[in-house]
Order: sequence, then C-alpha cells, then structure tokens
Amino acid sequence: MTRLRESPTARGALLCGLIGVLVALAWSVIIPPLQVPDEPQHFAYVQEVAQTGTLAGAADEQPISSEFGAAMSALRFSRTVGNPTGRGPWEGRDEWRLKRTLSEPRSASDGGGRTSASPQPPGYYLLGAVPYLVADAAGADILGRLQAVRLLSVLLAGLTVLFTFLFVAEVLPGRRVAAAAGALAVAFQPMFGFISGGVTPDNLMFAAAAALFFGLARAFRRGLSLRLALGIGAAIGIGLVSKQTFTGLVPGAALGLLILLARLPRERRLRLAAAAAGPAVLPLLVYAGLGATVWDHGLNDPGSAASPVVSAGTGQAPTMSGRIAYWLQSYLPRLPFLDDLIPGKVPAYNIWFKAWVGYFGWLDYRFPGWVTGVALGVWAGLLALLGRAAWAGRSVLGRCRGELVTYALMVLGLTIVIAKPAYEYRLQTGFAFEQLRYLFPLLALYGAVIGLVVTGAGRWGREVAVGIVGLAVAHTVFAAVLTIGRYYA
Amino acid sequence: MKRSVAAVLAVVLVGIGVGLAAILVHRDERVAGSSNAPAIAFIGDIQPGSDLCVTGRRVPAGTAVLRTVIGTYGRPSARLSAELTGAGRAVAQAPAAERRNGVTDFVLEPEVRAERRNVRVCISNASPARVALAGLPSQDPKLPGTPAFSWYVAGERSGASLVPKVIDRGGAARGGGSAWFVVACLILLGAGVGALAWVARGVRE
Repeated sequence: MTRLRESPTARGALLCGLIGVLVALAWSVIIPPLQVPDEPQHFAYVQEVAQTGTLAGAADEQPISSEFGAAMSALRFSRTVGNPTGRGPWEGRDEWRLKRTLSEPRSASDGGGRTSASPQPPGYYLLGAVPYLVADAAGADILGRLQAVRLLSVLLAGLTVLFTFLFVAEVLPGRRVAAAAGALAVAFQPMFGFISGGVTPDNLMFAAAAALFFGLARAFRRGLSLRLALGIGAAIGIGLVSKQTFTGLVPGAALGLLILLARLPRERRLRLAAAAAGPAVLPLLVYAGLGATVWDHGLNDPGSAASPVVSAGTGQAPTMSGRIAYWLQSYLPRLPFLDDLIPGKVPAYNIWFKAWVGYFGWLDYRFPGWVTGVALGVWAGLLALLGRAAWAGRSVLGRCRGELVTYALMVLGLTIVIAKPAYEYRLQTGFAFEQLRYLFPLLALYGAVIGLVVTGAGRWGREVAVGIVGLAVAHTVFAAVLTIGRYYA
Repeated sequence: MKRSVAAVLAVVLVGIGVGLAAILVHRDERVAGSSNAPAIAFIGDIQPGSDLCVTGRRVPAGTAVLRTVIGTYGRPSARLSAELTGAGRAVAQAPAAERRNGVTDFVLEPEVRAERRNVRVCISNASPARVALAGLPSQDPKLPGTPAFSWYVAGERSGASLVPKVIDRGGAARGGGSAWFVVACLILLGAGVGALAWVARGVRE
C-alpha cells in the first residue's frame, strides 16, 4: 500500500480503472436487458455453466432454458431488436406480465444447446457463473442474475482501462497526462462503454489484450523478467480461453517474446521461455482436457451459425485471392486492381469509422449523420498532432523497431482473424459482418495514439488532453441520451 | 490550474451543458408506441379497391398519427385510408388521401386519448394499382406477417416533457426501481466531470 501511495503511475492507473468501472456500471444499468449484441446467447451460456457445470453446445438440447426463453418473450425481445420504434414492456399490463413471468417457476437448466456463442472457449462464462450463482443465492430473478453477470463485465472494463493507462505510461514515459488522456479516451469511448455494460466474453478478451500490450511494452523497456514472462504468458492464456478472436494477437506476441528472449543471456532464455509458455498454454490445455473428458466440448465445436458456405449472397465461392482482397478492402482505401467486394469508395470509413462514432444496440440506432462529419474534422486535427509527435520522436521510433514490429504483427493477425469470417459471411448473406468491437483488443494502442496526440501538442499538452477527454465525455453522455431515447422515450 | 486549461475545461463543460439543454428544449414528433414489428420486408399487397385488416392491435394513449411503410410499385404515391375500430365501434380514422411511397403517415381523427386494446386496423386502397405494406414476415409462410405500425402523439413535444416517462420506464422490472436508473445517469455525468477535473489539475507529470 505504501508503494502504491508513493507511485503516481499506480495511482493514476487505479483512478482511471475506477472511472472505467463507473462508466461501464452506468451503461450496464442504462441498457435494457439483452440489447447488447449477442447478449442472449452469452447469458444462456453463463446460465448453463452455472446451473449444470457443463458448457453450452450440446446438439440434443434446446439453445436456451425455459426460464430464459419465457423472460425473452415477456421482454418482447424479438420485437424490439432491429425496430427503432419498438419499446420494452415498461408499462401497464406489459410490465405486469413481465413481472409475473419472472416470478413463475421454470427450469433454468434445460438449455445448453448450440448457439452462435457455444463454440467459444469458456473463460468468461466460468467467471460469469460466480456472480450468477451469488445473485441466485440471494433470490434474484433472471434479470437480477443478468445484471449481476453484467457487473463482471463492468469490472473487466475497469481492468482494460487500467492496463491501457499502464501501457501508455510505459510507451510514453514521464507523460502521465498523455497516459491519462489515452486511458480516459478508452473509458469514455461510447461503443466500448456499451459493450462493457453487457454480458459478452469480449470484455475478458479486451482486458487480457490490454494486459498483454502492457506486459510487452514493459518488457521491451526494462527487459524480460520472470514476473513479466509469467504475466505476459498469463495474459495470453486468459485471452485464449476468452474468445477465439484473441488468436489473432498470438503470433505477434510470440514474436515479441522471441525478440525479448534473444536479448537475454543464453542461460536465462530457457527458464523465461518456459515461464511465459506455461501460463500461456495451460488454460487452453485444461480447457481441451476437460472438454474431451468431462464437458464433451471440443475446441472447434460448431455453433448454430455454422453451416457450409453456400454463396447465397453473391453467387461466389470463397477463394484465397478473394480472402486477401476482402482483407485489404476492409482496412484500406479501394485499390484499383482488386474486385469490389465491399460497397463504398472507402469501406473502412463505413465499416469502422462510422461505427467508432456509434452504432448501438443490435446495430439499430446511431447518431445523426452530421455527427460523423464533426468527428471526421476532430480526427483530422488529432492526426495532424499525431504526425507532429511521430516526426519529433522519429529517433526514438527507430530504436523501438522490434517492439513496433511486434505490435504491427499483432494488429495484422487480428485483422486477418476478423476478415476471414467476415468475407465468408458477406458471400453467404450479402450483409456486413464487421463490428467495431472486434478491433477493441487493440484499445491499448488506441490509448497510445491519443497519448501521442497529447505529446504532439507540446507545451499545450494538458489543454489538448482536457479537450480530448472532454470530447470523449461528451461523446459518451450524448450516446447515453441517444440510448435512453431509443429504449425508454 | 493554468488559465488556458481552465478555459478549455469551461468550454467543454458549457458545451455539454448546452447540448443537454438543447436536447431537453428541442421539440420533435414523439413515439406513443409501436406494434413492435420492424419494417424489414413487405409482407403483403393491398389490391385496388380492397383493404388489409389486422386485429388485436393495442393503440397507446395519446395516439394521433399512425405511421407505416408502403411500397407503391414505382408510383410516387397511392390513395389510402385507415380505419380503427374496437368493440364494433369506430375508434378513429384517416380519410382517403394520397400517401407517399415509403414512410407514410395517417393523421387520425379523433385522437385516441386513452389506451385501446383489441383494435382492428384496416388500411384501404382507393388507388387503381396494388400497394405493398411493410412489417415483420411470419415464420410460417401460411400465416400473414405483422404490419409495422408506429403510433405518434399529436404535434411536437420537448425532450423535457419526456423525462418523467423515461425515468418511470427506466425503473421497470428492476429491483431498485427508477432510483437505480437515475443514479446510473448521475454516475455517468459524475465520472465525466471527475475525469475532466483530474486531467485538468490532478495529474502530475
């Protein structure tokens, strides 16, 4: 505790983490039940784990329990999702019917079938079973238990913000204002807040990814110690059992570890390699072992969405060249030599930037179009400051080549992992698959970009930091107002 | 705190305050309720001279406008009327008039003051060509889908006038009632102000 009091960095990280918790807590109460994307599937998985001790995905079970199905129906879930004028059962007989449904005894353990979430590894769901069971023991109805599991996501959001602060403080040493601005820009990013307020394993993945970035950054600056090797390994291990998407970060992290090990004296390399590899693979091995022996749940079990690619959307079968073209188009301006696979001149602007501004709920409401224009103007200014910072620090960047290559490979890996199912989904359905949250394992880098912008402002750094955090706070406050209007007005 | 930092902080806080105030005083058309069926596809045609009726609709209190989505097969508009009946008596109606393709409104006379249940809603087509109605298709192809009807109150209302309703609804089906919802909103604002104050003067380099 004394050390904590004496370390301004630790205090700053804790404060940012606390702010992250408060923001996510507010979102978790404001968002009506099940209105975070895929929340029903994820909560059904948590319920199955908590009630039966087994994982979801059994071919002969119904996807959700009778209790949960009745609650979803009483919440008018299917008629609210995708229907901007649809409202929940908040008044009169509808509310009475919901309360009556919640109080009626129904089986909570007859779910556990295949859903789009059931192929996912169980890390988040095992953790979620704890608040679920605590709330259950306290006599909470199913919506109370859902809120209890949401609180797990809230705490994980705090960890993501905390590790983002530590990461930015590490890559920009001595610039705690920059670290604070970076971490708070994450905490007040409304799409992050929205996801943090719901039941989804993404939140565990975000926290693990932020911790991984912090561990690597610290090791690149201070050398790989036993503690850091264990920490980096643990972050990888937890991330791998949180969500399959995390695999995209692993090749880059592995390269980073190899670079760090190569800098050590030969006699320490094996020991620290083992220290990192152990916690990195142990959770996955335990999952695979229990899956094969106890849970009957393989690493590649199919979900409800799994089906052969039948080319209903475009009449094309997936090809390797198509995958590469789709991946490039998802992130870069349209290149003249590539087939048009995604509509629009700059698909990345439509897919990612507009979603950064806000595409809430089950992607059924957003800010008016002019807000995107304002955001574009703000980012033009921020990028100018970023360029200034990069130019001023070019000599430092040159010394960090190994670290930068590591992060670049992590970004590359994640984008490839996202683009693969996105390409197949678009061929199948003609619709977009991508959501901004898929990039949130890179939130620590987003925080670092904001930190660099503050650094680029030179002696006006604190003013710019206040401006950026202020814009982020305004962004979140108005997103919350938009959300309240969508569901309750 | 440096004056320039205080100035930025003041601009931000005033901006947020002005934005919130603008939302509260802004007058706009407001939803009274909906059929909770999104307009995701055209669910059927109304032939010339015939009508499409749905029964068992709930019409919320204060409804003065029925909004739906129509498809006119290339024509700019179609001549349609609407009639709402309940317990064998007329509840409200909108006379035949040209309705534009896409999102279209039926202004109802008289306004439905109290909530009505089990209302029959009929849309009649007085055009020489068929008109498609949008809504939620049925899972069973033998059954008709649900038309997407949204009900709007008369005129425009300010955001402030909705606050009591929003607070009441935000507390529905929660153990702590509306208090939790209000506290959550205050926490969000408090976290924002606290974070700004800390960045402005608390963080030491």
